[in-house]
Parts: sequence; structure tokens; C-alpha cells
Amino acid sequence: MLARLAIRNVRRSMRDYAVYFVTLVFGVAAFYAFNSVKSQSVLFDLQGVASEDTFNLTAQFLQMFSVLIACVLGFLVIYANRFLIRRRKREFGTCLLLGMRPAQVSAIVLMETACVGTASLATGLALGLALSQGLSFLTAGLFSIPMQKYRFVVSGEAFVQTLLCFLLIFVVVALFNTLSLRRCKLVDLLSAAARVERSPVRGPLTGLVGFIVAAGLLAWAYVTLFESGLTEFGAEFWKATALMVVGTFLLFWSAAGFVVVVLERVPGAYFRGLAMFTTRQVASRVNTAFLSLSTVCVMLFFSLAVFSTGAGFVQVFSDGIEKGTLFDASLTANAYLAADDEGEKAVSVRERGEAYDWDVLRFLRDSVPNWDEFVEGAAQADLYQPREGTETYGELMGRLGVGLDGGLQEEALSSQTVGMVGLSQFNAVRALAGREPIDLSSGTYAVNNAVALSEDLSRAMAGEGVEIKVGGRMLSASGLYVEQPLSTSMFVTDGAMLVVPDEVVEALRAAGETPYVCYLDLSYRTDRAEGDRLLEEALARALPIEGQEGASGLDHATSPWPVTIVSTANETIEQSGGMRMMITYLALYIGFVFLITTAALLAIQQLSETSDSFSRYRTIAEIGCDRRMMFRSLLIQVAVYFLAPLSLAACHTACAVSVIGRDVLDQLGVSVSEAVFAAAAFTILVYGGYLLVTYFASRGLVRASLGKRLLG
Amino acid sequence: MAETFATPCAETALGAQGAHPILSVRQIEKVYGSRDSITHAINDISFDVMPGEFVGIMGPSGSGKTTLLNCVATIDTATSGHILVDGRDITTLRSRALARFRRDDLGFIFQDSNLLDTLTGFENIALALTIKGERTSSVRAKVEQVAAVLGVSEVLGKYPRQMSGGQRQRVAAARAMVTDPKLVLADEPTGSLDSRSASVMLDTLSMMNKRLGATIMMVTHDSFAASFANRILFIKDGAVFNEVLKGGLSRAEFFNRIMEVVTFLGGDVRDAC
Repeated sequence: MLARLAIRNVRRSMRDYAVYFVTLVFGVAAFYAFNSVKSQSVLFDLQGVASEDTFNLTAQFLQMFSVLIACVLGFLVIYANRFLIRRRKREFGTCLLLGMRPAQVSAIVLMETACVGTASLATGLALGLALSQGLSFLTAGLFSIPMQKYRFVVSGEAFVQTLLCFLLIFVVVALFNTLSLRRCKLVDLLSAAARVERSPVRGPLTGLVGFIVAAGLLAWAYVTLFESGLTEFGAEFWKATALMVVGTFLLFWSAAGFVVVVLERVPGAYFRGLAMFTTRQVASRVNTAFLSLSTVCVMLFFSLAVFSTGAGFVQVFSDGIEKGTLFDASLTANAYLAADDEGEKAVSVRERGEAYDWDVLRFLRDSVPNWDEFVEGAAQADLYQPREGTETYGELMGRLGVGLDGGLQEEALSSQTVGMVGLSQFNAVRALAGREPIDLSSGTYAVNNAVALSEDLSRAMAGEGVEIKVGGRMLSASGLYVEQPLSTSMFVTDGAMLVVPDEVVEALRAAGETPYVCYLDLSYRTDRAEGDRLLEEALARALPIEGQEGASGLDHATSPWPVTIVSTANETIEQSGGMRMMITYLALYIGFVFLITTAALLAIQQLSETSDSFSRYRTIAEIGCDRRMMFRSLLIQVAVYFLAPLSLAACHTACAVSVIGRDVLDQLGVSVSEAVFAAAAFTILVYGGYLLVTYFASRGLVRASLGKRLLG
Repeated sequence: MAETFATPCAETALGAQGAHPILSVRQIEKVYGSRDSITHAINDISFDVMPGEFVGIMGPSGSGKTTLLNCVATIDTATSGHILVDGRDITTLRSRALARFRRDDLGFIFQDSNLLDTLTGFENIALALTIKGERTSSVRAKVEQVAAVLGVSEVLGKYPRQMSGGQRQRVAAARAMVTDPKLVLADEPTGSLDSRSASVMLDTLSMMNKRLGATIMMVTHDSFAASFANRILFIKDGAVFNEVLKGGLSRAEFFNRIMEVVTFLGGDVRDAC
């Protein structure tokens, strides 16, 4: 009997709260699908250790964030459930009045929860299974590896995880329901519907002051963020975050009062149709729900920011990959690290460099007997940034009237002297990459640039008639502009450098200048995987670890010279594929779940608001408001309620993303606009969907409540 | 009857012979339920209300008086029969026209005032005007004028929950009056008020009728409230049972007349049992 009651109740409320159910199903599906990523590895031939590592790392990250996601979904379930229970207090009161024991009423609610839980879990898992199959194709695309043989993958681990997590959520909900029902007094249950909201509108002055303070706080937060940038998460960053959160809360707390005060002063708008009613409805809604609205806003901001920056970063890793893998491997020596240091270690590094004339290849040949057995070709490029008699980039930018982007990168570059590489080394690198050499006549230079950010500056430097002072002498532009990355790496950093005749470099050396950075590019005789292995062995032999130096996890020592960083083409491809996958998945996972959670929250609130307002709609219908007017008011209410947090979140996102764009992405030569556009499109699709569904559902509720006669 | 149409309309003359009725209820019937269990809520009621009249509808619970009011208010539909307001048959109106009719021709006062709790007194009254599409520049003046007449000027800035029950009802009356309707319908307007507030409210209605020339149809089961009307229709078991005119009587005498009928009605019910 109780079970039959429960099932009937569920069927009835399912119709009203389909939005909640669907969101729960989406949540379960996403939870399963992203947690099952790890098991997809069986579909791929993950050759390198690096691929497998990144794959596992991604899976680990996803699992880590699943805890956060579970909390968010748990919050949604408990919140929505509280709403459902509160709305049905009268019904429970009637049950108790009719002589049912509290335990029986609790049992009904428990069974309902179990019913909804089972249904959404089952549906969600089924959808999740389908979704995870789709994800494996996405994985293949992101990782740029062919799927060997497709088969249907079911991840037992993810299955159990999803099951356990949501069971836990539902158990908590059941406990919560039982407790809240036990604690209720019968009279409260029965009179629940009659309770009125306490403070429809805050005082005009409070609203005005609050609004101005909130706007001020937000402006302060934006300025702080713009000035401090997003390169490090220091005190300034946290200050901006705190200001933003407090400003958001205060804004929603005061906005309604402020808007009402302003609108009241405009009779032309306020005394038109249902404008007064609509304004007051929204205002009372926002005033009572400002806490959840600002939470929603912050969550939306988070999801929008994750979406757009995530998409931007993915682009970085996709764009850089071709340019960054011209050579099988590159050894980088950051000689500048030892340049101006008179410490013992730095001096010994410098002495070693000088002893070999900074020739990394000669050093390795001397210490690795089988070097030429696996290395087919090698080319070294030494970069100089002369300390004496050379113009700085700042002077150049001032003289040519071209900068980078006006940001931090420009500031950092300004104080550095112009970088350069000798012609013969440059041509050797080009030859190794399979490209034609370039020619330079004496007293001239070419400009090499492979970074989008510095393209304008570089082209200006290469322009006709430009002269640049290098090591005390003037060189004139040959007009030649080339784009030649000098090493293999995830991010190409060779920008706005000069290619100068060899005698210029010789003169610099004679004047006591040392290389700033040395690149040694290699091509293997063997395939890349075998070559990587042999190179690793060779380096371990050539540069044995002494003392603390092995702390980096490598099995060879790193030092400013001869080898600081080793990057191989294979590793770079795998890493960037892995990064692409990780970022895409995290952005999709977090962004999507946050988006549907917030949208569902708003939908539930708005729907229950609509049914709480039935008597108001009845009154305005009785005094002669027609259907069109009423539904328009309803649409405005729903739209404002959905779009207010979204637009504020969009403002926050615009600020944060432009800072991230300026500080991080632009320097990597990627524009964020496409990513932002994609994120916006996705958000509009999901969020707009929820908005429309909420509007039509609200309309249905009003129509059903008022009846045809009254509604007209 | 032919000569009645020849006489010009006397707008406020009480029960003036020959004027067009503002409301004309013709043989309406209201049946609830399906084939198995039919309830006749209204069983052939006909009456006229003249312009400027203050008509009271009385009857015991379940007599069909509220159903009758709802039918006139176009909130409910009569099963058969016709209701004419100012010569127009409202039983045949389509949905959009119904809303327009309620908006332009009717004013409502309900037992529980039905003010919107999120709007101030001023806004509650103004809403009736803005829905009608009143020019925005004249809204404020009209609201303030009617509020002054009905004595609610000082509560215009308050929310309904900050007002007393009597003030709420008078604001509701102001909302009903502000659009200058052809007919004001009042459903137990004193039902939820204490006796002092009820007196003030009834004086207000009476004043609306006399000074503003409002035609009022009031449903009540309270004889005291009914004694403020000019004419009482007694309804019992879905039919007009009796009609009492105030004529030249004082309010106290009229009240006694009403009580007689009510006592008779009650006795009759008890006898029937």
C-alpha cells in the first residue's frame, strides 16, 4: 500500500520536476563517462611510456575532480529534494492527520527517493555507457593516435564508483528527509502553504548604497586582476577573488532594491502593462534567493572560465606541435644560468664550456663512445645576447614604433639586448630540418622569428633601411625574414632574433661574450622510440649524477651547460596529446556538470516560484489581465532570473579570460576569441535549453492552475 | 413594455422604471457533475440590476450565491441561460474578449482582498489601470484621487501585510473602482473583518454607490452587511426565493425586514429536515 502511494507520488512529481530528473541523469552519465576514461586505454596502442603516463595522469585528474563533481551534484540533489519536500509538507501533514504514523510517512518518502534514485542511476548509467563510447573516439582524435580496433568498453571500476557515489548521495538525502519530517510539527506541516515571505524589498537607500558598493568592489577586483595578472596565484590574486565573490554577493543582495527604486522613477516604463507586477515578482525572488543566485553566478563564472581557457590551451597544444617537432631530439643548455654567478659551481660550468668552446656535440662525442652509432646528424645553434654595445629590445621597439602586446612579456623583453645566432650554425640547423640555407652579405642581418606574438616586431626589424647596433657595430637589414624554430619543444620560443654573419659572432666571442643558450638538434639513425632510449642511456653515461643533482627524476645530471633540458619529438607529441586530452576532458567535465547543475538549480527555483505565485496570477487574471500579457511577464521573469547571474558571470569571465589571454595564451601565439566563442555557443545551447524548458513548464503550470476560462 | 424604451435613461434614479438594466441575468442554470451525480448549483435564476443600484445577494451556505457571482464575473460559466451586461451577452464571449470584459467593465472585491503581496497599496491600485492600458502620465493622479475618496491615502506606500484587514479591503475597493467599471462585484467583502472594520468597509461601499454612482452587486450571508444595500435578493437551493426592497425604510428598519426573511429561511430549512 505504502509502495503504491510512493510510486504514484513519484509519477506525479516526476512530471513537475522532469528538469531535476534529467539533470540527475546527465550528472550520472557524465560522472561515469569521465571516470571510465582510464579503461579506454585498451583501445589504443600506447607505445611510449609517456603516453601511458599522461593517459593515467588524465584519469587520475578526472578522478580527483570527480570528488568535486560529486559534491556539486550532491548539493543539487539535496537542494532539489529539500524543495520537493517543502512543497509537499501539506500533503504529509494530511497523511499524519489521517492517522498515519510518522514512520510510515518517512517510509513513503524513503521509497520515493529510492525509486527516483534507481531510475536516474539506471538511466544515467545507460547514457553514460553510450557517452563513454563517444569519448573514446574523442580521445583518439585528441591524442592523434589511430584507434586500433573499436570495441564496446565497459569500465567496471567507473561503474562501481558511480554507483557508490550516488548511493551515498541518496542515502544522505534519505536521512535528511527522514530527519526533517520527524522534526516537523503537524501544525507547521498543515500551514506550510500559508506562510508569506518576509522581506519583499530592501529599503531604497540600502539598495542604492549596496549596489554602488558592490559595483565598486567588482571594479576594484577587475582592476586588481588586470594589474597583477594571472601568472602567479599570489596574494593579489586571492584579493581579487575575494573582492569578486563579496562584490557578487552584495550585488545580488542589493540589485533588486536598486532596480525597483530606479524603475519607480520612470513612470513611462513602470506604469505600463504588467511592468510593476513583473518587477516586483523578480525583485522579491532575487531578494529571497540572492544567496543561491550569487552562488550560481560564481559557479557559472567558473564553468565559463574553464570552458574558454580550456579550449584556448587545447589550441596551444595543437598549434605548436608541428613547429615544435622538426628534430628527433633537442638538447638545450641554458648557459645564461651560470653567466653572472661567481659561485664555485657556476665558474666550473663556465670553465667546462670554454674548454670545449661551448661545443656540446664535441663534449658528448668525447664522453659517449657509441654516439655516432645512433646519431645520424646534429646541428648546434648558439644564441648570443651581447652585454656590451648592443641595443635592447626596448630601444628597438621604441625606435620602430612596434611592440608586442603591451603586456608583461613586452616589459620583460624590453630590458634584454637583441638576441642573435651565427649564419653557419643557423644554416646547419636548417639543413638538419631539411630546408634550404639562407645567404647574408657582410654587414647585414636576417630576422628569424617563429612566435606569433613577436611577428610584427620581427617584420619591422627586417624592414628596408633598418640598422641595429650589435657588439658596437651597426648592421643593416638584408630584408630577409625567416621562420625557423631552433629546437624541438612543446612551445616554440625562438622569436625576433637576428641571424648575423659568422664574423660578428667571432668578434663577440673575442670580446668575451658567451652564448646565452645552446641548442643541439639531433636526428637518429634508428626509429624515434629506440633513439630516445639510446639518447637517455648516453646522457646518463656522459653526465653522471653527483650528489643532489638527480632530484629531478632524470637519470642524468642537468646543469647550465652542456645539457639542461632534453626534449624529444616523440615525448613532445605524446605530452601535447596528453595535455590536450587532459585539458579538454577536465574543461568538458567540470564545465558541463557545473553548467547543468546551476541551470537545474535555477529551473527548480523558478518552477517552484511559479507555483507559489498561482494566487497572484489568479488575481491579475481576475482583474482582467489576458493570457498574452501574463505569459510575457512570465517569460521576462524566467529570462531575468536566468540571465542575471549569467551576464554577471560573463563579465567576470570576460575579465578573467582577457587577463589569462594577455598573460598566458597570447604569448603562446594563440588568440582566445575562438575558444571564447565556442564556449559561449555551448553555454547558450545548454543554458538556453534549460531556460526555454523552464519557461514552457512554468507556462504549463499557470495554465493548468488557472484554467481555460480565467486565462482566456 | 413598449413605452419603457421611449423613456430616457435615468442614470442614478433608484430602481427607475424604464432605464436599461446594467446587468440582466436571464434564466441561468449551473449544473455540476456527470451523468451519475448531478448537482444543480443554480436552478433558473433571472433578475435585473439597474445602473446605480446596490444589490445584495443573500442565502445560506451552498445556496449557489457565490456560483452566481462567479458566473457574472465570467470566472465560471453557466450551463445555460444568458447574462447581459449593458446589453452585451457575456456568456457567448470568447477567451480574449472575456479578459477584456473583466478588465474594462468589472471591478472585484473579494473576501480576502486578493491584493498582491509583493506590491504596495499604490501599485495594487495602479495595476488595474496599467493592465487596462491607461496613459502612464495619468496613472498617479487617478490612483491618488480614488485613494483619497476611499480614505486609504496614508497606506498607499505600505505593503498589504503592513495594513490592517479593513485597510486591505478598502484598497481592494479602490482597485475595483479606479477603472470606473460598469459593475462592481463584491464577494463577502466583510467576511474576514472585525465588526468595526466591517462597518467602515460597508460605509465605504455605500459611499461608492451614492457618491461615485457605482453599481454594486454584493454577495453576503451577513444581514448587517446586507442592510447597506438598496435591494436584497434571497437565494435558496439555486433559485431566487424572495426579494426585499429598502424603499423608504431606514437602515435599521431594513435590517429588521432582512432578519425576518433570514429567520424564515432558516426555519424553513429546519422544518424541511
